[in-house]
Amino acid sequence: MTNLSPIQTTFSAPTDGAKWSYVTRRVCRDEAVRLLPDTDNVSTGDLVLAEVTRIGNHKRLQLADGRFSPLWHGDRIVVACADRFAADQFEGHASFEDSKADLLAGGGVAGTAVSKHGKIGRATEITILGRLAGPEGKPINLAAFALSLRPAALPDLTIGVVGTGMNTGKTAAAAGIVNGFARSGRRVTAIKATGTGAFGDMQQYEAAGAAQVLDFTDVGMASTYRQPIARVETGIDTLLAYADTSDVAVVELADGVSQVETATLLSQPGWASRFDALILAAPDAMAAQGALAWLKKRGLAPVALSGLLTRSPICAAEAAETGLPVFDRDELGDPATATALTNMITAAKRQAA
Amino acid sequence: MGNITFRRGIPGIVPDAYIVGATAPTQSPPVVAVHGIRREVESMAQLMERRAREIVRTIVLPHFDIGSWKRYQMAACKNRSDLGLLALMDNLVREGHVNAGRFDLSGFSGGAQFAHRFAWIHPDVVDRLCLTAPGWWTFPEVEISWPYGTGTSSGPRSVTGHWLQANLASFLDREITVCVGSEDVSRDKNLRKGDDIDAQQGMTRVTRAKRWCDAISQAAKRAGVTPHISFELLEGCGHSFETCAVRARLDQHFAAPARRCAGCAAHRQCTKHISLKGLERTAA
Repeated sequence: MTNLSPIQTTFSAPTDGAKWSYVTRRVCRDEAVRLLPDTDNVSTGDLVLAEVTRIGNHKRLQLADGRFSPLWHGDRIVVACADRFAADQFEGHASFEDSKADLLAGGGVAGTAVSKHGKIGRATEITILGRLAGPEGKPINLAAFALSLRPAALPDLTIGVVGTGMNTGKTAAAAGIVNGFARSGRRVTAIKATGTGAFGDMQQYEAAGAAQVLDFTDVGMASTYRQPIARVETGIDTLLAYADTSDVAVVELADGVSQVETATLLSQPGWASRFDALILAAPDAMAAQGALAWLKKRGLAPVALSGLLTRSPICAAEAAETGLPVFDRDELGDPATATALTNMITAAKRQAA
Repeated sequence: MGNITFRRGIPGIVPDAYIVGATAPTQSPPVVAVHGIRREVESMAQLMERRAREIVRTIVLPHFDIGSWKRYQMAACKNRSDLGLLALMDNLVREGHVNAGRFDLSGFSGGAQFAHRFAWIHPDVVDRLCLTAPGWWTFPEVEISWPYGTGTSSGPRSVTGHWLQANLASFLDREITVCVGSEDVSRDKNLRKGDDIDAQQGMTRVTRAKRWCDAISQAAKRAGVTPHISFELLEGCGHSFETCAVRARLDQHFAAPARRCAGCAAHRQCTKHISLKGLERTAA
């Protein structure tokens, strides 16, 4: 008689051995037990398992634990389907062509590139192996892991940082402000309110002394580009509500003031009243003048300038002709500047009243 | 040295300090007293010892050594003596010597220069201010560049002008006592001289102190702040802390009895900023 041993079948999770990207950091990985091959009905925020098929512009993936991981051909990665807006990289949409897709951002945003900056190479190509799903077959979306809604609340002081465009020094300015207030003994929450999910800015804020760092991935979005504006607005208000235990919130809005979502938010009457003050980052004086004029049309007046222009004394001197104080990153990181900003804001409020 | 404790600092980061009186937190916030450019901080500590006992307040005397803080009197100097004092006070709070919160600040000569600039740059950490016989002052005049005025310049540290302009109303909203010896009229080597400064501020420490008081009072009114500034001429005193303390009891101005919050009736200062209207002086 043949002795038949029972067959031992081991079911492994579809993501075993995969690299989980930054935008997935709030996701409970144990829930990803199924892989849905159908990607036709993919939604923004859906998690997908993909395989790297050609290394292009993005040669590293930002991992959920805050490390970079060099990408290799054949790597399996967990990323989110989302749009991307980046003037000096890609514009991309949250869709896949069959199973082909582009890695639009190193933080883990997958979609299809529709345009790219002239200095940028082709996107890293990935093949979508499928959408990740729970045991019931329901696709896993970042929104399911968002912070729960809270009643609207604001910290004592909320400072918004806006810019004339991408890479104009907004994050350095925001980090400087965080550092200044943290050094003066205040508890600071730093918030990246809009943009594309990436850990770089968050790490800058944390290194500057923020007690709490939050971004739109905490409210379930891998990117805010082409999201319904009401969703973006609710997301920002939720993040601010989580900052209400801090003395100060520093809120960076991505890209330039004329970027579609940022422009829509700032153009809504009263929306910017969430901020006690705005600080504008610009690469040069003329850009600053343009943004100030754009903001003035909407009744908004930053209290100070910062950004790349502060690297050049002649640019800074030219920008000072606007009549606004010009602070570089280190000056913003001075406790004395934090005190002065507080008093400037108090005086401006008194004047407005 | 009696009830005087020496605390070693960290060169260039935290100044050494003499702590006069209780080294555990008292009900009242501490007084910080800053030396002149001769740096006679130890003798100053001895002269303040009796006063610390009288008013039951801890008096902290930082020592801005010449090696680390040559131009400490500017406060926003290259090595930032203002941040040095903030670091010292943070350390004293952490070590349990004083309570967190605002402190009174007094200074003699170069120490008074430091004190008025420090309080202007960090108005939220200073309560009462006593300024005695500085050689020259920062005036509330935006047309004149820092450090003579609050104007900004294109040079390094132009940011200081922005700080002072932004903080003006907050700086003025406090009790300020300006003292100077009636015989402190010598144009000695430590008095900054020159056509511009003489024209702006006057020829002697007495004239300069009076002009600064007038300028500050006017600036307060322009800023919508009720001025609380008093001028004390110390009769028979020249430019010496010891003489001023012995003959004219400068120590009483330097370290005044603590005020208490009318709201909570505690000697200890409220952590929130409370205007002078909400404070009342306790009996000496």
